[in-house]
Amino acid sequence: MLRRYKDVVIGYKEESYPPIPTKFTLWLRRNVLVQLFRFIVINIKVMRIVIGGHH
Amino acid sequence: MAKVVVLGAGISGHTAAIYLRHYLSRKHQVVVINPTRLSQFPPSNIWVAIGKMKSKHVIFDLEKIYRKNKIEFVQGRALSIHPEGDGSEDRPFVMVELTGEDKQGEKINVDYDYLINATGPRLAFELTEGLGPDKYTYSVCTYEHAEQTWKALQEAFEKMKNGQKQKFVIGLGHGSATCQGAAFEYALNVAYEIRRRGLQDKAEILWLSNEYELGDFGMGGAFVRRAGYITSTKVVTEGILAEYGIRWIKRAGVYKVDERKIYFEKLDGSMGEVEYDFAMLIPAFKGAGLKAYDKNGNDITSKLFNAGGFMKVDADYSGKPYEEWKASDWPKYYFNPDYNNIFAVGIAFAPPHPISKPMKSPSGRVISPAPPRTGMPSSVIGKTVASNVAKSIKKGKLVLEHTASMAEMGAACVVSAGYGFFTGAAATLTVFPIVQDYEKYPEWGRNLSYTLGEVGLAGHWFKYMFHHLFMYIVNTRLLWWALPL
Ligand SMILES: Cc1cc2nc3c(=O)[nH]c(=O)nc-3n(C[C@H](O)[C@H](O)[C@H](O)COP(=O)(O)OP(=O)(O)OC[C@H]3O[C@@H](n4cnc5c(N)ncnc54)[C@H](O)[C@@H]3O)c2cc1C
Repeated sequence: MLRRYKDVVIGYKEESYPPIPTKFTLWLRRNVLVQLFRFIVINIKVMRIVIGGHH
Repeated sequence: MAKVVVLGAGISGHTAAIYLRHYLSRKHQVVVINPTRLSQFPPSNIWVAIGKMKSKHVIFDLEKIYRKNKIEFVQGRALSIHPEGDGSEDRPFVMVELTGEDKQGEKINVDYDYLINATGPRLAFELTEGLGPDKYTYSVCTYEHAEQTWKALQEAFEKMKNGQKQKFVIGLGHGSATCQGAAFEYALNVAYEIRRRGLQDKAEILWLSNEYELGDFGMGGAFVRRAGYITSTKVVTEGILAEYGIRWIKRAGVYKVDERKIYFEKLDGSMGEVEYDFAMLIPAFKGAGLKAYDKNGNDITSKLFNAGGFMKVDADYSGKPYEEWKASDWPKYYFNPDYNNIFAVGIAFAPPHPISKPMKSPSGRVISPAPPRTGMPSSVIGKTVASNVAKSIKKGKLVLEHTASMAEMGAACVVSAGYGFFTGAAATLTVFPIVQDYEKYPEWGRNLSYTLGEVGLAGHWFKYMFHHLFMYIVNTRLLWWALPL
């Protein structure tokens, strides 16, 4: 069964302690303006990597 | 007039070929040998395997592109390299078996001044009993496999709609398999599509991996700045899996699959098995299996290739222990030390050693990922080698001006986690350099200001944009060479 968040953190298992995003984090991930800004950041980081990769 | 022959027209070979043509005047010949007329952009196969793209969106027609660019195309499979020629031929050549419809099976020799081996991986399904699209598990490694996988996934959706529970197992199908990113991406997309259809109560998804810790991705994991902490990709990856409702098993070397179960050995020596209804497992990769002969016909394959079939280049193959690995072990120019006019790019070159720490179970089974050579480094290496070869031709001697070491370049791994302009998501991981350099970056092995790990819509846009950018470049559309690569 696909688990709900509340199911994830119960149980003393290796896999029981992952970080779970808050509602605010989920909102940030979907907010078009925030993501537009992140899109620019990702592009700049990747461009730096591509340009810095060959000499 | 010089003749450059490129073996393989995947990401690295095709990039090398179009840049060679761009750098060299028409009096020089560029020849590409590839078994199929169509080539593909494998990263987008994930979208084919969840029905969001058709195969036609991820393939490109080599014959058409090469005709337009005055590159000669030979539809065939390279069988052997003869770097010194043979008894009747002084020039070095490659023996090729033609695969085009009209000339299938015919063998020809293609001579060269410079040779670029870009034959990528051979998908070694046979190393795991029962693995592969001809047996019990699915694959996303080629667009044909992805199409077949999408068909099977739809059948699983239908079963769930009819109330039947389905168990999905997605991950690595061999103890030393790499390309974790692709399998991880597929797991997230399958979970996303199940949830989008409201079928989550009928599905169980399991991530089955050979990594010591999740987020290793064959590059020893990475550290990212996140919420005021420097966090391991283990934490980020576990968080994403949990969020998508996916359980996991790690440190597992799969050795057998039958129609109901997947069998694996764990690093601690314990044996395990899981039942499945649908499994997509990435196989181990080997080299293309080319042979090499000297002018007297003696087999010199082991001089040019390592035991896995990958071509030896300017790397340190002394086999030193993990503790002594250095960034400088990795190749910079990708030429073969014995034959300086032969280069290997992309997955075809032999890495000096893995990036992740090698691990074995008590029985001796290797359970740790082989080093990945993903699309981005593959194309950068292809372009760099093309540039050095073009310069060498112009100067009439070997000129090694540009370098592209994986210990000096970064990579972006954008793991799609749902498709849609406003509803999609992707986990973006950037690292610099790919291979840790503890001499330069003693604390983390990498430059954290280049590193990024985040999930969001922006990643999906980036991946979508990148797909179109790549297709624009490989189709050599207007001013393609001015675009970043
Ligand atoms: C599903 C999937 C998702 C991926 N996602 C990403 C991603 O998000 N980001 C990323 O950076 N990388 C990704 N990758 C990895 C990336 O696709 C590879 O790193 C890249 O394709 C390697 O390029 P290559 O040129 O070495 O090999 P390939 O692209 O495999 O090309 C090899 C070519 O050689 C040809 N060939 C083979 N044998 C011979 C022979 N004997 N003679 C002549 N030709 C031959 C083959 O037909 C093929 O055309 C993904 C891979 C897969 C499978």
